[in-house]
Amino acid sequence: MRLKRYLLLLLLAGLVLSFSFGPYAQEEVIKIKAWTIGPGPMPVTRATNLEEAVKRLNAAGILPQPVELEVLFSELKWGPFTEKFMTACEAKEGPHIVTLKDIPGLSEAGLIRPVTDYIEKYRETIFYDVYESMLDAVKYTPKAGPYAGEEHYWGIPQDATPGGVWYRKDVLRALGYTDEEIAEMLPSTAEGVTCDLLVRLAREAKEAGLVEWGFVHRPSPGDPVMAYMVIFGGRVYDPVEDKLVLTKSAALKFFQWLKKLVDEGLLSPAPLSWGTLHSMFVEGKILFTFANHVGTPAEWIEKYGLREDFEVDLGFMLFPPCVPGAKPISPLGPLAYLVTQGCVRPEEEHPEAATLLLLFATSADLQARHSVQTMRPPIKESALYDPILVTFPRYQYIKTITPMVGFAMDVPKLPEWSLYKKAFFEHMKAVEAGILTPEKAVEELVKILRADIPDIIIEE
Amino acid sequence: METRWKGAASQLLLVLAAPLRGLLLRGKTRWKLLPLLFLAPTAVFVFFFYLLPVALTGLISLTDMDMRLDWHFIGLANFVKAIAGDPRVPRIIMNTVIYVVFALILTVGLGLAIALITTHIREGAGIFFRGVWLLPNLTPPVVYILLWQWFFDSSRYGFLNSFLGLFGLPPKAWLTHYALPIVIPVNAFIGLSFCMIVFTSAIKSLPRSLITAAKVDGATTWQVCRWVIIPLLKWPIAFMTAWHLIAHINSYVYILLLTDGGPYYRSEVWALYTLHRSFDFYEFGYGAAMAMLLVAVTVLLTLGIWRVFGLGRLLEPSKIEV
Repeated sequence: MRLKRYLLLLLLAGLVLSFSFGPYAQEEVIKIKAWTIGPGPMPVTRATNLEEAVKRLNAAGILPQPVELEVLFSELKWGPFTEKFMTACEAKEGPHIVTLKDIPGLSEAGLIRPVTDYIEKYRETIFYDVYESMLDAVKYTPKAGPYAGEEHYWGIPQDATPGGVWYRKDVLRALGYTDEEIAEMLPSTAEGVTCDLLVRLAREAKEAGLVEWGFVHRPSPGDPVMAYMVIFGGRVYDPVEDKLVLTKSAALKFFQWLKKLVDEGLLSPAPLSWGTLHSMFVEGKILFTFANHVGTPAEWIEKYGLREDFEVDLGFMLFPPCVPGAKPISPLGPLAYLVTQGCVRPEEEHPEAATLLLLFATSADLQARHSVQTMRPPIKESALYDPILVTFPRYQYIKTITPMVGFAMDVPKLPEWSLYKKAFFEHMKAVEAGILTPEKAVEELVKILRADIPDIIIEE
Repeated sequence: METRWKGAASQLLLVLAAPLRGLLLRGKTRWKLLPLLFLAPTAVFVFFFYLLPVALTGLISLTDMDMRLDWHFIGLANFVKAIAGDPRVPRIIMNTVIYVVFALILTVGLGLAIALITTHIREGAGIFFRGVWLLPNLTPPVVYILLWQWFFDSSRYGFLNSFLGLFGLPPKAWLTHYALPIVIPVNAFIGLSFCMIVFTSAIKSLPRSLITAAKVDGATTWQVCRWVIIPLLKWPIAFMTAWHLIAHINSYVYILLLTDGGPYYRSEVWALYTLHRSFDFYEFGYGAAMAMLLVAVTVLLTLGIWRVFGLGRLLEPSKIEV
């Protein structure tokens, strides 16, 4: 009987304790969830940098309560990751911070909040040396949603992946070109390079039996679509009208070029998968790849056995002009940390803590760590002089590619851009497979783009 | 103590159940409510997992719901786009018709042929061959498709191309040039094994006396099959045709894994296109409209098959007293 009484007392005491301290204990820490994406394995520092940043934020004691961070690094593809984010937001089980590219769509849906105040407030102390192109990449004026008509910064820049053409110097050497001749013939700025030159070199390599394919491109739709249009003298965006554009003549010339490459056996009639493409290029069986960006060697070293001093055998340059008058181009490929809105229950929203955390993640040394891990250029200049990066064996490479962030071109910031890329890519594949002639492909592409994006500008 | 609790609980249950019990057992009401009660679990299941999703899809089809899951009512605009505003649709309808017709012929025709052959050879060999033909159904879809991908791989390492290589022939991009003719048998082989099992069991349950009588009258094996067995398999054939017609119209998994509808919509069928618009393009409203059209077509075709084969007779009470 006495034992029962003690047990009852103990139970009551437990109840009292849990009611009195429970909610208080919950308020003791600010819980922040961050979802980051690779999709490849290399940019894991997107997540680990946040873990380091939260330690610094807590040590700084800016907030009244400490921040507890739960961070996810996902290797899902962009589509499934976006779906996961959207459904989690709908269920109020989403993150406070996310890395996604679709700033127009997310801002118009009211799923992310502007960080303009923070960028303005800390412009002199944190963002003073963040490349302007990176800040421009996160600037957008939504056409709908809670912030319609207001231009804002919608995220804290995280990294950039300027794209271009990688080529095998060793193959060119085997063809008899000296290193000096290669450097002169294929400079990283692509000044004076033409697509005709690339075709000639690919043909020589193929005829000599040195490579299986002269060229490869991405096996999926991507931002290089913009580059293809530009290097063939077209454009994809009209800044005055703020609309997407298809230049028919550029698309036709590009499709004709692809057909010529396939007919000559320099390009596979069906796109090679990512794995095949990476391994074949690393093995030297492909001369030029249009599929990759400045940071891809990190993945080639990690997963495909590329030698550490890859610059000996590999060269990189911007997408070269393929018609007279066109300019070399590199798509910027920016990514930012976005602070979400309405993705968690109202009482769990902590935008102030989430944004402050991101400011700490923008420090030079964390940016340097990200560059070392991914071989991507840092988004702020001071990171280039951080000891972590300066002592990195591939420092010279990072230093060479970093200026690209300044002049690389961002893709159109319109929600319909993904439809444009998909439609364009489908027609590329159809031409390569011999299903459509270049002329028919342009005709069909116009029809499909008009159906999918009714306000697109079609120009000759 | 425990017995006392149990007793009290039983009493309470009896008291609570009394009105229901009275209703169920009282005269004519009994006959009205009792079947409903038995049907209730299935009805609840059908409502939540079949009718409700269709109703929700119908509602979504009237909106412009997109990736943001935000929506506005837009009436029949999605249906108008599907019927008159999407340049891909004519191609997709044509692909779907070709795919369904040929897959159905292969599934039911070949299933019947294999069942007839394996029931006319030695029992052990028959079991062995039926087992082999069951493999596509037993293999996980991803593994099954990986095998086909290797079989049709466009490089010289693909099975078919390495075979051609023995004769000095160059490799061919099979899945690029023959996407639709390839996805038809690949998908049909799955349904085929189901047909084969149903037809085999139906053949084995036929009265032996009929077949023996035909043989005594001098019928050849072909004549026995053609004039005795096949006519007696009318119902299984009708049922399998209706079943696989619905299955093929709505199938997309194996096509998704093998060609993803490509190249350039060459193997894109309606169900797969619905999936693509919904989950690649995030046009949930438009995808739902495509799905509703598919539901409508499926219902109409099923009713047509029902009438053509007189399937209603299958549901009539047996005329034989058991």
